[in-house]
Amino acid sequence: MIEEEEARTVRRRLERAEQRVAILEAMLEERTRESYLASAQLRAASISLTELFRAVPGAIIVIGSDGLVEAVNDETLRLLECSEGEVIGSAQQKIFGEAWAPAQDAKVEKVLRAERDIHTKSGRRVPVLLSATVMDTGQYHSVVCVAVDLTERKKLEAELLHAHKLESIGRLAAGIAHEINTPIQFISDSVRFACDAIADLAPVYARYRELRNSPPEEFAEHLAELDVIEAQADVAFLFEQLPGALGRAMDGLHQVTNIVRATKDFAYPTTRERRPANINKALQSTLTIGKREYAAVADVELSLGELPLVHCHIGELNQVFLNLVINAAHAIHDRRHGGRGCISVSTQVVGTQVVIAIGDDGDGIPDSIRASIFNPFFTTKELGRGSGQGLAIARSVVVERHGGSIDFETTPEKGTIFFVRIPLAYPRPSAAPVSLSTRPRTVS
Amino acid sequence: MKGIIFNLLEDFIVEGWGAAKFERIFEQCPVQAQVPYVGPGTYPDAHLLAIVDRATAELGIETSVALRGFGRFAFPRLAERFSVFVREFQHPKPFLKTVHGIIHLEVQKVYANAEPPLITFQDPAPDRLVMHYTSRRKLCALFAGLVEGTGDYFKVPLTLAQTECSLEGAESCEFSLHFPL
Repeated sequence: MIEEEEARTVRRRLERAEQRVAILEAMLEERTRESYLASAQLRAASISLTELFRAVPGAIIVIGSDGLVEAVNDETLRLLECSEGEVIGSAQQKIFGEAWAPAQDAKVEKVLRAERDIHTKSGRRVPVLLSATVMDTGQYHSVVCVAVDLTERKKLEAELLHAHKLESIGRLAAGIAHEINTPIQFISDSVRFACDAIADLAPVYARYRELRNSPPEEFAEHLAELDVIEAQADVAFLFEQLPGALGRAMDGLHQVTNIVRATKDFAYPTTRERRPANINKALQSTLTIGKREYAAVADVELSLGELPLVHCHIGELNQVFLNLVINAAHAIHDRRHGGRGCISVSTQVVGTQVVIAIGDDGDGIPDSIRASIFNPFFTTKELGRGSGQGLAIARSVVVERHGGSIDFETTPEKGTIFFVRIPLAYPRPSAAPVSLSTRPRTVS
Repeated sequence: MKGIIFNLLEDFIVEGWGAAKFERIFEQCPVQAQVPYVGPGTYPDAHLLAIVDRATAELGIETSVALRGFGRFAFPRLAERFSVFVREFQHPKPFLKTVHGIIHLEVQKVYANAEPPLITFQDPAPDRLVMHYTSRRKLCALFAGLVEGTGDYFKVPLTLAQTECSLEGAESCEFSLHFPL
């Protein structure tokens, strides 16, 4: 009876043990499957994160608590101009310099946002907007820095400042031109009156000389006195020179009047809408304004075709024309064969466009830089002579603001002609004001 | 409740009263509680209480005494199985201070749906420790037994007095421990 009871107990325990084994096997299979799926998901997430880490346009730098660089992404390597092997494991100072150590900065405990410099391999300092924070997983403590390159933004800010200055100067010039206009007007009127007066007095003086040469006897005693007065005043000389002097004064006043008018035209205020404008007149104003730049080195050949009024931002196009004229003058000044050169300016309607051609007979544009000349801040001119913004702004004004195109033909040692093409039709409302937002290779 | 506790309860009864006694207790439990328990599995608390109820009736001991005895029995075995949590300690006091912050955290990592109790403590003196046990299961007798088991495991005598009990309306069960220096 006892043995039977023991056997029954053993049998029940054995049965339960077998059931437990079966359950555990099933659980093991389920856990294995779950583990496989979880690890597959983890692997996929890891790949995605790695790709994201590599591809993100900001520089990501992970600094360990020991101050050594643990990880960087491709953008960081591009900024630092070095390979992964050169930066991983190196001290944080290699990237951030001695002035700031992210791993030791308590402000990083909360997210730190600040402008900092990153030190490149070549010794340059790149300004960045930096966001740094602590990544603390309990077992793993590091500082993650995300840096966005501010170089382009700084340049754009400088360019905007420059544009604002130009606009202020333009307004000032327009104001001065307006104020000069009135006195110039009455000075011109007065000189013209003096010219007329001299002309009117000339026959009076001629008759006086006739009478002087055969005077009546009763005047004889006064002749000596008259001769002294006439000699002192050098009246003959005055009547000979005054018409020429006043003529030159009138010419000068004409020039001043032209410059004032050209300044007013050139400094045409920037408007949101395009307005009908005379391109030929604008070019003539530009040549007047820019005369000082080219007069010493070049003559101008004008060939202005008959053009309709063109809806455009004429103030901005004036800037384009002036830049092209000044560039032409510089090219002539720099040419190897020396001597005076020629700036050709022509206009014509071709199809649905007005084509403005501004050429020079300089040395042409070297093949090696042709693709770069419309890039912002690209210049081959010495410091202080060119900002490198002229053609970039020209491209922006012509292409973005007017839907036109700008290109050039160049021949070594023969010169370059820039062609500005502005549509006659009014294709679309004007875009935002001029900016150097892109780096085009194709400029149409 | 995790299956490992059911298995330890079975071991506790088998070692104390024999396999036949356990089988008799087990077959008197409600049918739904008569399942093969495995360590990683999760089972209703009612199953454990049903087995304890049958055992105390069959063995003629009080539930709280049975649970306390079971806790004291279970701790050294749990410590052997999960030695990683105890191996760096030489004394129950520093170990007990890690129970909630480390051990229960690790339990939740391994058993996603585990519901460990909340254990807090105060350390008023080197030879004293005040612990608070809060759990919807209100198995404070089991907890007291487990704490006493730490003394057995580390071979350090300790005395334990329960000063408040949630079964008597307190918010949590308070235990005052004394470790003779």
